[in-house]
Amino acid sequence: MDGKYQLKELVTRRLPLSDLNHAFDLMKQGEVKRSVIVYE
Amino acid sequence: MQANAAVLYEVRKPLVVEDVELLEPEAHEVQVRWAANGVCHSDLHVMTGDYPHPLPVILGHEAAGVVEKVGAGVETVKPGDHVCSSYIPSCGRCWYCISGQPTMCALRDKPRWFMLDGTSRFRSKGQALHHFLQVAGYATHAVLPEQSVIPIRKDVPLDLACLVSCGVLAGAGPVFNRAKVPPGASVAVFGCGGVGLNTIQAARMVGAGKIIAVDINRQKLTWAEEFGATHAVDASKEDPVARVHAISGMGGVDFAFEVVGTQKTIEQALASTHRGGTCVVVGVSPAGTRCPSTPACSFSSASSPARHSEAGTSAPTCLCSSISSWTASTSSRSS
Repeated sequence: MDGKYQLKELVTRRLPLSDLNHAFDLMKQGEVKRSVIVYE
Repeated sequence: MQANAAVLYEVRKPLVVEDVELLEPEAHEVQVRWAANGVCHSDLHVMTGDYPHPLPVILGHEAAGVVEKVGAGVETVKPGDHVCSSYIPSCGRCWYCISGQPTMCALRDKPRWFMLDGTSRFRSKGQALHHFLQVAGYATHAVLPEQSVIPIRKDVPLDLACLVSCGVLAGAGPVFNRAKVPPGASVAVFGCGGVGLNTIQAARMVGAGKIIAVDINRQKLTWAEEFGATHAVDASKEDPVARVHAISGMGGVDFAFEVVGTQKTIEQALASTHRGGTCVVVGVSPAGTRCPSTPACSFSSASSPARHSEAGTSAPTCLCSSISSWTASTSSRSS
């Protein structure tokens, strides 16, 4: 193993909790690898 | 205390983001301030009703955060510790845990939307809210059973560490633990979303030979190539089974990973392996999905043993620690 796991490359979008419904719309449209909800 | 949370009151309706009441952690429970939670299709299965679940519920099961408070008797974490959520608790004492299958832990037989005493720690206007998979990551704060948090090192950014809790564990774990893919093996991955991309990069890490990505979305196939796929097959344009057979050069791949959860893709993955190959089903299927045994993809013809993998068939604690370490060392090298 080369020991380099690509984690940050998995994140397409960072969103606040208030945008969670939008995050699911993006998923349904196939536009993201992973969205991450980030809290304050 | 108050927490801000996204609550699912009715299927096929938007989540309601609101302030809710969070009760104190009881014995053997932990209160965590979540820093981040990854958005996973398994949550969507509950929102659409594909995966029936008691309501109302706070979804989210791919979380990372900081322990704020612990109940009586908690020994494995303390306030200030960084943790990943574990959507399958592991007691460490049951037959499954001591025989090396912690993701099958006996605690799974309890309702997985309550604390282990069968009650909730969330209230909204007096109504109890369910904790999805005992995690409830779509909330600023949550209470979890001690067995549902995994301490991690503090030099991993929490908004990346959360991904390990589900997508990485579920996607990479099957390669390392269930299939144990050896160097040089041929691999096909059906479904290249947030979980499948981890299957692909795990296959790359163990030194798989051909890594064939299959999807119907051109963008996802491009991402698959960035994560290590050597070949991309657009299943919206050609028969993926025939194409995988042709690319493999030997009538099928050694290992096929199904990371979608539909009957069609399960059949395709089974059929894409050669005689003696292995198919691992990772995708979460809507309730009622069947996995048929037909002459073309039989379980009994010695053509393709099918295995299932949940949470990467991992010891979640081990994999979370390993991947956190790989990431931490990668970040420190690049900074």
